[in-house]
Amino acid sequence: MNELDEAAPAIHARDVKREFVSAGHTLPILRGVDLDVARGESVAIVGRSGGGKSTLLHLLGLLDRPTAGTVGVCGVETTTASRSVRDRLRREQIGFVFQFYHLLPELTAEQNVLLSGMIGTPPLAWLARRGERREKARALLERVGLADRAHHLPPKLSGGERQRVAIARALYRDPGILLCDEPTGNLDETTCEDVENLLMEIQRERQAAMVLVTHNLRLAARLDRMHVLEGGRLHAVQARSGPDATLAATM
Amino acid sequence: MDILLVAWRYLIARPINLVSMSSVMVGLAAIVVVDSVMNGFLGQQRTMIRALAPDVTVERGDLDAAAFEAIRARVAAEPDVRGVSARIEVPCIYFPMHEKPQGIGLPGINGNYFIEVLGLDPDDERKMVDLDPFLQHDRCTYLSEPLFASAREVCRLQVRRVDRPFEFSVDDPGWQDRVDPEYRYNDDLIPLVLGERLALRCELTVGNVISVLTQKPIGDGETIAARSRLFVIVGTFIALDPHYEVTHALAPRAPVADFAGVAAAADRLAVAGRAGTTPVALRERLRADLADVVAPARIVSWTDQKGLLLGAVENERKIMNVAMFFVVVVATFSLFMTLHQMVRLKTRDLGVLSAMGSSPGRAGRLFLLCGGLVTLAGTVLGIVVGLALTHWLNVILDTVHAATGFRLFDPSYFAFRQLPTQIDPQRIAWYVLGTVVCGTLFTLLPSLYAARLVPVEALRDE
Repeated sequence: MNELDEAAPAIHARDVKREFVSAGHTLPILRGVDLDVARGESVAIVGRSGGGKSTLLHLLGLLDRPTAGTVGVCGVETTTASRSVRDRLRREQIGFVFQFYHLLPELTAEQNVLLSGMIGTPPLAWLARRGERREKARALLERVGLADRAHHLPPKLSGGERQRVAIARALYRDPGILLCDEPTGNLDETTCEDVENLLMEIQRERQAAMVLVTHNLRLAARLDRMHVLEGGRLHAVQARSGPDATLAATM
Repeated sequence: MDILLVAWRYLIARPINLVSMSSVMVGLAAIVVVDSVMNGFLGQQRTMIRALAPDVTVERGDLDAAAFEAIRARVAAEPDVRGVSARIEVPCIYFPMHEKPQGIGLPGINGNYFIEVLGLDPDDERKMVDLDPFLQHDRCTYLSEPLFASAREVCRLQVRRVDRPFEFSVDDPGWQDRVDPEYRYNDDLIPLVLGERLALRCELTVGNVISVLTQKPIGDGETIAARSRLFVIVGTFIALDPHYEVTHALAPRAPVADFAGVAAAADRLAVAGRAGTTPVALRERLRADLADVVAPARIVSWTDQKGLLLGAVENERKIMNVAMFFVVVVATFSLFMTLHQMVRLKTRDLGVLSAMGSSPGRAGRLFLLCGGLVTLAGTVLGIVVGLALTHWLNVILDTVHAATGFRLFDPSYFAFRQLPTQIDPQRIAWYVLGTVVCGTLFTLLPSLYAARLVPVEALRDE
């Protein structure tokens, strides 16, 4: 794997373009996105539905490759990197939190958290430190307030609890980057605020770079920077201030 | 580890996987049972056929005693020959004595029965072939050991003419004194072991005395003289071939030869080869070495005589196995359906696993493992259940018969009372291999599909 560069931005995207071909027509979604996110920095991306926010997040999370442009993660240029390098970066440096939690329903909360650590770890190495790893998973569940729900299956958990499990799962590998795709989009107002607070606290505690896609302007305003994705390009809006009424109107 | 955990949780969370595993199990168990039964049949039939069929038979019926003995000596001197026994086969007619002879007719027509009386020397024969399967059966009224000698002792107490039933019970004291001296047992009666089916058809049993007719050419051969002799039935035999049971009888060779009036007292040699010598090789050797005295066509191996019958059963087994293997193929195909459905249902999970750093190849391996575990469990259970069913097959059949009256295996059609089974571990190993290969092939397609999923699209899957 290419060497990580501690001094480089956690995320470094330049002129990122992404086009989709549908029924013979080329559909440009991203037309040249530039974005740098430093370690410990949090960035909100807002914009209209279908504007390409999730597409950008997938590109930053190395789940997809851009049509043009470059994406660097922790100093590693990923656009031309091999699949195994990208898989490893994603495994070790990136944690995802999705709107619909995406927990595996057959696994308990603890197993869902542990699963993140299991991937890519040789079975014997895993078993050798099994107790230690379980302790870590439990500590994370305790951190998100679900210590007593470790053995519950996701269908037995509320939406907020599922999202907390998903956050714990994303944190298991101590990633340098947290990518959140509308993490509160499926929660009621009270739960939404709880999850917001949790995310903010954790991001600060761990000094992780966080890119958060949301329609929630109040949440977006709590982050270090906010960008609007419009017309396939990112536009910086403000830094640490209240929601912009004009912006809200455009959304 | 992640794959093992997810695969295991997927499998136990979905009862449909249990159905897939059961179908593999049932398919394999069925093929084990069917193969074992067919093996059992084949083994029994081979045993029955070999009970009277020596490795090679050398026929020469037109010689005097000295010339025949010379051939016997040459055959016995062959290095590949383990033993030689002389036999004679005399075509006869039996007609029940309460009916007048109606001339020559087909078996069962006009009350007459053609019987080939096979004269043999039991002590010699037992060194050559295993007669017991012929004689040991539950309907055999008398199992003789040695074949004919001790039978006389039994018949001494039971002898009677079939056309003149006793007017008293053998339990009456002194009954023997009241039997007409003409019909008392005496050593002039030739012991006869009759085919069970002929005995049943003619209502004959041990102790019955019957008259058997044969003919001997006179002078230039254009005239024949009828000769008859009284035989006493000392037992019955069963044979694989029902026709053989109706048309053959066994008797000591010397009195049969005397009855037939032939000079050599034998017209064929039963030859057994040494271990490691195939019947066909022995046949070829004898054909080459006896070419000056016996026509090649008169030297035949048991496979020449009975191979078709055995080959037919062998062929039936092959067809049955192929048919049964299709059951396994269908059973493992259900695995394809189940896994394909699972991949479709779990597409988003695969996207999540990708987001956590899992490679597409691991997604494929996840479903390979799922299919592998189902196949493995189905295969192991299939073998266990198949072997258990095979072991207790007759108990199960008897229980079903006792409970419902339904009889799957009717022993009256066969020369054995119970359904024979014989487990062939090598063949079972091939079936296991076939099942695993089929299971893997049908698992491979959904696994490849899973491995080719694009993570982003998988995440968007609804």
